[in-house]
Amino acid sequence: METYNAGDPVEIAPGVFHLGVQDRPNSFNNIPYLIVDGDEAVLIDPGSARPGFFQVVLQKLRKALNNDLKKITHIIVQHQDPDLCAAIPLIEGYCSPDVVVHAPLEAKVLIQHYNFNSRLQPLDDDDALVFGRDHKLVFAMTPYCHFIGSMVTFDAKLKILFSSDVFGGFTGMAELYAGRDYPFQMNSFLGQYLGSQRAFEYALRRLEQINSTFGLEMICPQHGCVIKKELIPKYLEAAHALRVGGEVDTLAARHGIKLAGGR
Amino acid sequence: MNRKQVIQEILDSAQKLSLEKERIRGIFQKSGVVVDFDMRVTAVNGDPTAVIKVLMDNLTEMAVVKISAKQVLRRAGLTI
Repeated sequence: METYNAGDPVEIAPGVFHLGVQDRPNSFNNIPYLIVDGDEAVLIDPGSARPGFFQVVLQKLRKALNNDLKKITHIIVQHQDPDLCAAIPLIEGYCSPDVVVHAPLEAKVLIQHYNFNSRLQPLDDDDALVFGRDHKLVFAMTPYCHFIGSMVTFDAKLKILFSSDVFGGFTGMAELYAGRDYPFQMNSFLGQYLGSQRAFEYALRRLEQINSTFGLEMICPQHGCVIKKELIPKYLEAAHALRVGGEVDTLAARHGIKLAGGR
Repeated sequence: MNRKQVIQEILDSAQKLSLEKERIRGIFQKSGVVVDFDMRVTAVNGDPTAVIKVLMDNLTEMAVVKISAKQVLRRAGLTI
């Protein structure tokens, strides 16, 4: 079983680094990713502002980039939550002076409140970013999964999907790749944190479209474990079977509220 | 699924999510659930429904485990 630690980045594909931070007591590990191509690097979902998280990410970035953090010309945040955005004001000073933060349009209005100085570029569905020598990232919006301004990022060169919360899971373990318990860990997280079956279905079908068109090599969620190519069909099937939004039904039953219609 | 089985499922789920085995065992014990060294529920001290309610209150200190426990209760059709 491959694991990660608090000191070393893990190169999971050529130039792609897993910068995960184990959150053992809370079982909610946090995984930023770095893509390096030539003289440029892209940081995806930089993480938390809490020192115990940020210092780990910073150390891993230094190792992955041989201390040259100025290579980071782009920061991508796939939605607005603090576990992936709060580090932006802390990290931007280490990056290129021209670093640009990219985020879904609907998330932009919230992300501004993290109070950083870098330019914030709004993204819409199918927008793309080209960097390095010939590296292209394509952004696919996944609205209401779990926020209107949520997206996933497809690396067209390496066929890697950075899936944000989609395929994320609860775990306090430091397993790098999805193992025996990951279906349960994924279902525990997504089953409770996603509210709309329809939104989840759209996201899954869009990912299947990308997979059938381009052929995914791996899925890299922001929480949990990386899913290797050979397991992607199994996890897609498991995700399709998952029922989300059940907390509404629980509370409706407790309070005697009858709800009409589906989710 | 009876109440003891529900409690066992909450315990099994907790172990799939967290490495904090002794902390988990402690929460179950103080809630009135006797857990052996193999992490099996051997006894429930008191009315099982009341014990589950106390357990859910005590699981608040491990948010992710409590979130998973809520899902177990939902699957079991329990509103507590």
